[in-house]
Amino acid sequence: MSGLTVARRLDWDEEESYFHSESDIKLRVDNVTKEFYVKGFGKAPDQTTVIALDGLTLEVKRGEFLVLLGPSGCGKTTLLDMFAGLSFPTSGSISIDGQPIKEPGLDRGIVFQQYALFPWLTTFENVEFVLANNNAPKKERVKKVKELIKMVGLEGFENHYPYQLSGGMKQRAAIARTLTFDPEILLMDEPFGALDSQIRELLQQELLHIRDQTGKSILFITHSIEEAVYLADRVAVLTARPGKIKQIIDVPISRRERLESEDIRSDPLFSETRHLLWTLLRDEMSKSQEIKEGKAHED
Amino acid sequence: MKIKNIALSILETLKSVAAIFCLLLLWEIAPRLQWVDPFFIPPLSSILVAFWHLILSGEWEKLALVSLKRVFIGYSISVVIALPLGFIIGWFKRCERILNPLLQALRQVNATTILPLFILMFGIGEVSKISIIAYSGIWSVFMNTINGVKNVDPLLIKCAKSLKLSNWQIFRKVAFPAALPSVFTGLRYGITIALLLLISAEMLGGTSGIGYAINNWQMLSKAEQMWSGILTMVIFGLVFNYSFIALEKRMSRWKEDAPRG
Ligand SMILES: Nc1ncnc2c1ncn2[C@@H]1O[C@H](COP(=O)(O)OP(=O)(O)O)[C@@H](O)[C@H]1O
Ligand SMILES: [Mg+2]
Repeated sequence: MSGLTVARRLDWDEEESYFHSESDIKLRVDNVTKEFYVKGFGKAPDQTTVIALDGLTLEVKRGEFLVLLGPSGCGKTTLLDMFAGLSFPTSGSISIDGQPIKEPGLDRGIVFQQYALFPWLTTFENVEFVLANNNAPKKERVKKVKELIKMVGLEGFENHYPYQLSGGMKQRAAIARTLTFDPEILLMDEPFGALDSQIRELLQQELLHIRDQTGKSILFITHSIEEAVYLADRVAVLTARPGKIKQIIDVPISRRERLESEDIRSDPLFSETRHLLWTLLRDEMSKSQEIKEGKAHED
Repeated sequence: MKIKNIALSILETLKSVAAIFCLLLLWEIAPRLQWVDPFFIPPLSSILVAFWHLILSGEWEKLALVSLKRVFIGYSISVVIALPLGFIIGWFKRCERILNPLLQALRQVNATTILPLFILMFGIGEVSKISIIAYSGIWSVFMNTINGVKNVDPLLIKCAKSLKLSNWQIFRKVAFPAALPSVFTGLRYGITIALLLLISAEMLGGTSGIGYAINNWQMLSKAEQMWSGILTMVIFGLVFNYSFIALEKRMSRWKEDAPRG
């Protein structure tokens, strides 16, 4: 039993070479704090400050699959908005390839929990959206869109409107749209959170295949421990609000095993990691519960 | 499954046709049996005969054209004013916040209430009629356009921003298509109200048009002709309403539940 574990850990070490060197950092979050100023009203007219993130530091290596795991309300989406260039840290800095993020850019591809497909466009038009918007040559773009639609398994649904698709299909279309412009890093905010568990597992598996084919760096946000263990090279556990990194752990399961194993979830290493994450998260879950209840008392 | 659906919808159509048919039948019988005074409500058949004569004599066409022209010009003016303004005000949030109270107050000014004012200002000629129609049609187009633009799903805006669209592109490719169904609902309400105000304006001060004619026939106790005029307006209303619903449906193909009459 222990022999097996060691063997696997060696396997993991070999894989480290995939991250060419330690200095090869794709995305760096340096001591980031984010505060929101909430205008008061009614009985509490004073402006209050909500500290969403408090001194968060994190690195995503090139080609890495990093999962951010944290209780809801701990500031995950807030962080992702800043990666996207849609909002900015109150203090600290965020950079991609050493360049501070100043605005949105197509070097980052964002996948939202609620899909964010344009409801008046068909699957094909949605996937084509960014290319069409940037006037990519018609022939190339049709070819690329068809290719990606095939890759995410939506053939035959090109002319469906989003309301005619299931949740899983919508998210597949959204992922395909993101892949059209070939971003270097995928930022995914609880993308499978609204799906039922079977579709969810299927899409997780497909995402690993897509990563395998495209080699992209992925930052994936979730509050599901199971999902984190299944997908991540590394898991960064966040504290309850204000969010900062509680601990970062390596998942001792190789990429090859995940892709090839029939049932990696029942592997002892999987359970161990899950348990470790669970203990880390448990305290934060109850803290975030306290924050909510405390707030309820104030109201 | 499909056949069952078709059968059901045929049944529904039959039911509603049956309802109309019953009403028409009642309209024929009731005056003849003196359930109602045929002097006020003549039997349907005699109305239709009068209607037919109006058409043959060319009188109906003259009246209808005058009225349709007024609605067309008045309503076009409302659309030309309300659509661009609605899009601009809906898009610029601050603009909307500042103007909203004013708009809400103005909207309460019922068009019929200020019809006399328009007549005072523009006389009883075409200008006052067309401007009151334009004024009445503006509001629903305006308000529905503002709401359509304002209520675009913020997630879609966020997504568009992250896809590096410029503000103008976001307006054109996100806010505009998202607002279209609401805009068309506004256009439909607008034409309905414009038709209402057409009749009021023509009745209050006019020497031509369907509204004037209805009023005139009433004073001459020509009930059959008067009812022909009323039927004309019902037909116009139905035609406009259903064509606009068809347009609206086309614009909302991508919505789960397209609007229904
Ligand atoms: N625009 C905002 N104004 C005020 N508070 C906000 C805003 N956005 C987020 N917050 C607060 O910041 C905290 C973190 O939110 P969020 O990042 O959405 O959490 P998560 O995605 O981890 O569930 C929450 O308490 C939320 O209420
Ligand atoms: Mg969130």
